[in-house]
Amino acid sequence: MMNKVFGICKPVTLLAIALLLSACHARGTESQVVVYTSVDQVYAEPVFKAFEAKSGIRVLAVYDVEATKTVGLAQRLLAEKGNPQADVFWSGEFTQTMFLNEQGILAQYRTPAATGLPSAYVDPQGYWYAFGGRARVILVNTDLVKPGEEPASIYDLLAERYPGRQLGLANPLFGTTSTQVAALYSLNGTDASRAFFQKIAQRGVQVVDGNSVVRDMVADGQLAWGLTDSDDACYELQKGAPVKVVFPDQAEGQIGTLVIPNTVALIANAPHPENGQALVDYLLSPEAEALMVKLGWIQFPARPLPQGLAPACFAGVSLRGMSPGLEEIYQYLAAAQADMQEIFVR
Amino acid sequence: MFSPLLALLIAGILTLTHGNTEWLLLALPSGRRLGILWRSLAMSAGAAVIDVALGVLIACACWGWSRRFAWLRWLPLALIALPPYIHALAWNDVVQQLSFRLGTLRPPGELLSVWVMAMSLLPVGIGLALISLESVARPLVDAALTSRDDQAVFWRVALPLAAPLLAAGGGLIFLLNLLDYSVPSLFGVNVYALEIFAEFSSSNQPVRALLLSFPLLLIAFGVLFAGQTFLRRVAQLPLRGVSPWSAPPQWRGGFSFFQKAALVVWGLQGLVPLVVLVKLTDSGGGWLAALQSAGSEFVFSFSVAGAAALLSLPLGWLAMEELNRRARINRLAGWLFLLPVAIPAPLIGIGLVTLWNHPIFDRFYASAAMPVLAALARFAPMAALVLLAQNQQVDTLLLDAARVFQARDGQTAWRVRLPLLSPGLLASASLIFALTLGELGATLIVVPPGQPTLTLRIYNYLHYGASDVVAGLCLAILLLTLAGGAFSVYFMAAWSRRVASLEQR
Repeated sequence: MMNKVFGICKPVTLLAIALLLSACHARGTESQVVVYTSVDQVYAEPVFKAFEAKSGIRVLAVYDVEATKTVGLAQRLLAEKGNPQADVFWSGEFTQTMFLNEQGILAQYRTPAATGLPSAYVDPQGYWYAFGGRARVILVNTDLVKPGEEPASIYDLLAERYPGRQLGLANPLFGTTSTQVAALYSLNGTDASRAFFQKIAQRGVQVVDGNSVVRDMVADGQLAWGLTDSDDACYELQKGAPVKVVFPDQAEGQIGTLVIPNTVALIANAPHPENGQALVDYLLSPEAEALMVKLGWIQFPARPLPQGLAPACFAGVSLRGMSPGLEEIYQYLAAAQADMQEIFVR
Repeated sequence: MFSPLLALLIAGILTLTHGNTEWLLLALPSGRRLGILWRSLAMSAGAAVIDVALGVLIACACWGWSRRFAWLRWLPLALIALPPYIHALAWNDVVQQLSFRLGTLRPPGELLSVWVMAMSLLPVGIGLALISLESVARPLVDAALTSRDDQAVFWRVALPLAAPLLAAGGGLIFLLNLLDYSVPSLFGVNVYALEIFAEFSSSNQPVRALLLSFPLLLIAFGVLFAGQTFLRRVAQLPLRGVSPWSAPPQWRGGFSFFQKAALVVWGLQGLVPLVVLVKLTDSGGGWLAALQSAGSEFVFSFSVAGAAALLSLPLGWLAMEELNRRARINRLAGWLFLLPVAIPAPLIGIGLVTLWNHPIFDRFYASAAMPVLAALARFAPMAALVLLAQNQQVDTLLLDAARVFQARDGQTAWRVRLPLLSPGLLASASLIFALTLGELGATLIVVPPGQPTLTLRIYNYLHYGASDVVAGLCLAILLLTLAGGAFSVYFMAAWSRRVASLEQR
């Protein structure tokens, strides 16, 4: 029977192999670097092209997508630990990088390119580096919320003057919302934070698929306001949508808002370590940061920008960030996610 | 194909023997998780019932069409290539506009999810209903029509004869819905598939996610077992690809009304995403540039989908042969082959990485073969089911005659069995092609660096908010799939003629 089936399907199999071969681009022997990145392709691709032009090293990227709920590339790196394929991991946030470091996936690399970065953005052991990034913001629909009635704090999610169904946040189990939850856990403690989110759930605040959905729903008037990232908010501002951005908890004595830097790290036992180091150095350079600001990926650079260059949105905003450090926030992530699963996945 | 599951099971056993036996409790959902599982089952079943019912009504309505235009009924099946997320965005837009203009409340997320899940898989429902109902033998219908009218014959003869195939098709749609969290998630509804992702995301333990998906494996096993049992009961009659009615049937009152309503829904199923896509494409100028820059992704994605579709045929055929045998051991092997369909996509990816990411396989691992393997592991079981359905309709008299007159088994298989199975081969290849084109979860884990697929690019742009680019890429996929669909219809017609000529000999 096997012979019969294989005999019949020989032409089919040959055609399939031909298709496979056509799908396999001929890989040249030129210098290359493999990067896994969770940064949106539209932002990362021009940065890689600039690096290629400058270094002559070809960049082969694998991009993550929001739809895989952050279980994509970090899991791939973990599964590939025995025989790494990637040279560099560039993340749009920091918790996945911390996780990979904890799992022994990252390589130590001390680079002069980190000069000028805040000390909180440089791992003392040299396993990872952080640079400019985004902030968590409140996006307000100006047709639905009158001037002077805008929220000013993340705790306004519980304010009676806003009906719960008109407020929204992305699923707190994933992405930067989950990081924000972990930051609140590290600030306020587990019990108080759990109680806060239980009240949010009881109020019927809408938990939607992702930050981009919060952005769209606020811009469309389906939500009065919601929590999202500053790059999403910037997109709507540039489009001219009826929205306003509020940086929460900025007054004296308040907790500030979460700033989410990019992080970059070299992979241990990477196949092209020198090229990987070159890419890490480039991504940490003021030149790359300036390019990312121009592209709209970074709203809050880690170092002063060159004369005449300003972020497309929020130029001149002096942000009061949350006090816990990146690693401190990461320590609370697992507990926060477990609670969020209990509270919101029902 | 079975290897990713095997790799995960071995990893699971090793983990559990290292003192994590309490993890076994994850395999038994209780409390909150049990509630989510029930909801998921109800929603998936609801969407499957809607698809099968609409498919039956639409198939009946199509029998009234002139023969010249009858082939058109297969073309909208190309819409299966649209990612469910696009249907969700389009219908979300419609509901939003309607709620705003009529001043009504938005329907609950569960209802919207069921509707969108049904709409995104309606082409599968229609295709399966057409195949099921058109396999009913015309002589049986003609005989029944001598004493009863069209409608009575439909309810008492045609539908019962088609029921096993319809039930098996409904089971397939049910499973596809049960494993997808993307649509419910967009409407703020939590389903069991998302719970598995949440567990995976927070624990970073594939074994925990696998244990959590155990109920889905059991359910899939049950559905596939039932589907296979139904299929074995199908009357062994050849599929002719035409109406079992010699003359266009006359439907009465309510049934005729429901058919017209179903045709309207069918129209809307295609029009709503198309109109929204065209509208979005007009809203920005970036789509043309994106299409030009996505050339290599088009070639890569269509090649991967084509290779997976073709390779799924011999695999599906082998499994079909096992399922078709009388010995229990063979049938058990066939069911095991079908099981990976219930494993969450990222776990399939992780399983493949565990197996293939070794220095000796480096060239293979970094090639397009990996996404093809991922697609085969996820979708080839469906090819087996479709082929099993087709095989039940092969006229055994023709095979017996061929065995007598042909010199070798291979000759019989090549010259007789293959043409007789060709509609099923084409249907399964088309299904696997479309599903592979839209695959995301496993592909992301194994895609070669520097070679993103179109679906990865679409989801990336979706997050960025570049709706015009997403719409442009989706429309391009749709046009290419329609072209492929037209070719398939032509091919199917040619094979039908060949089968007819075989029968006449």
